[in-house]
Amino acid sequence: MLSAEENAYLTRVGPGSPMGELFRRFWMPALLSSEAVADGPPVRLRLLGENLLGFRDTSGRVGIIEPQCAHRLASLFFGRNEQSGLRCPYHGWKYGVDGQCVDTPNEPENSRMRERIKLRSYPTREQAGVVWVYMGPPECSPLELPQMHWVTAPAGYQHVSKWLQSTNWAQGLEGEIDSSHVSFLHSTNEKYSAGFHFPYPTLPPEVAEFRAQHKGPVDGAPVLTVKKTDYGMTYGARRHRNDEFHWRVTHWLLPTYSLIPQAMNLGTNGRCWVPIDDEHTWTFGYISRYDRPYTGEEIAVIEEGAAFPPRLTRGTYRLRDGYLIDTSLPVASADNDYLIDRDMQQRTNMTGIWGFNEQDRSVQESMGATVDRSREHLGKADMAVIAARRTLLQLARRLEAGTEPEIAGRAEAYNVAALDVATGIGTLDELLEAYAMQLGGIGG
Amino acid sequence: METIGSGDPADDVDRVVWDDGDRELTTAALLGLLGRLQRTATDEQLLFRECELDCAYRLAEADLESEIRASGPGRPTDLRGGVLTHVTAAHDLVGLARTEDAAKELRAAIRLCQEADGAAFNAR
Repeated sequence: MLSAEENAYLTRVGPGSPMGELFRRFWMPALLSSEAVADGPPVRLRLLGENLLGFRDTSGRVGIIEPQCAHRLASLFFGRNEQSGLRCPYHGWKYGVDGQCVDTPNEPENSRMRERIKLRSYPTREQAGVVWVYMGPPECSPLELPQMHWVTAPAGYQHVSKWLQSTNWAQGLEGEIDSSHVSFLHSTNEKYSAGFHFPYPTLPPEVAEFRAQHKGPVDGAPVLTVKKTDYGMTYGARRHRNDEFHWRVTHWLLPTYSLIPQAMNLGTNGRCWVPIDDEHTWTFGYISRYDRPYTGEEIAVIEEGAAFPPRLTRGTYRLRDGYLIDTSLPVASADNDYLIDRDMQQRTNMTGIWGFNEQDRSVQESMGATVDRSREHLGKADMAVIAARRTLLQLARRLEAGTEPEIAGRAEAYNVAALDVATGIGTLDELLEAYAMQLGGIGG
Repeated sequence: METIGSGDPADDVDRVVWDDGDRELTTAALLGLLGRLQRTATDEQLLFRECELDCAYRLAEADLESEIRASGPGRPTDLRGGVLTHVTAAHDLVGLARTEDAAKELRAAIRLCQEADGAAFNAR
């Protein structure tokens, strides 16, 4: 439960807000690389309440700049992306990826006005199929991107997707790190199975074999160990399985990344939530393998929409104040009740909704654009949610008081792996020690 | 689901301690929470206290609502209202790592809880 004041402090991310300022200290995913085509159409964005425009110039560099021409504020979305710049169609003013005005053709030939004109722009980097942006003070810019496996792995070893969620960012993050909902929201017709219905048409063969080998009575009352770390939190869920323990070790990494193990430790997957504004969020989903690139067939399965990402279509979305953004939109949404099938709900699964993320969004978006946390009634199962909120609130308060978040500059601290293992080891600390090589650096 | 921390598994300050079998917020539960709060030293332990105070908060609110529904002449609800107010304040103060101030609020909640228990007993 948070008071109304703390809820506002947590959720508001616009320019000048404490939580917005905290987010700005981190490199954030802004675009998929595939969204920005060289000399192709610009992409309308909003990030942390700021309207922006992304485009890729002739040489492949990506700019994220103010979206309106400095001359008379026409939208540069309608500009022509040409010869290393974006030209406003109204009077021909042209801008580079750094926002610098490079041409003002309607001005006198000897005019040097263009040298004095520079649109607001933010530095970008491109890695792992993502265009990253840094929106904080230049002197605080982290030197490197967060060194999670999906970011540093060779091209093709990861798949990244992006879609719109119609809620504040915190609801998405809380849903991700709340492990107790999995047994219910994602359950099949077996009553409150601690397993879950993974609606892929066919499981990858190695995963199916693993599950067949490790079948047994499922422990519906796991012991959850929460360990605060310098990068956020590690939590280990320990269940009895046959005569040993089944551990799943997952991580929350500041500000909003999750790392969740794949079965058999084939790799990791997770999500991060990048605030568009106080009521809308981009979810970036990522999955990576340790051993080889994904095949085309595997990518097709991922993109079917059964888990993450959901079923998607490309389009525009009008935000509450009328500003349009270009984005991937979930096919199943509040507008069509997430395509709920009540017959499926009676016979097959808890929700009657097909895909994992579709199930998640159905409940998260139903809570309201920004849920009123002062009306909550939390219990022991909500420990991870309580911990994440409190950590973020503390960091934002400390930043407001002048203390920079040190973790933002420690990219190497993000080099941790999630773990899914059966073992006789009973405590999280012993498990982390035993699997230290596999887990990377677990911060204290 | 049991939730523990990365500290000493045998020390209840390093875990979330709450008896979900309690139907009402009891003085004993609040006294136990106060004792753990007074030994709480780390950020991680503060998180466990905040979780326990969330558990206390929802019971305190339920107790107040029960009293309101059952209230009649001579059955004041200001005691349960006061418990809720102090538990809420303790919760928010723990979130700010102000453990001493939170402990003061918990002591006030305990006093009112004891009075409310006495009033309920006398009313039977």
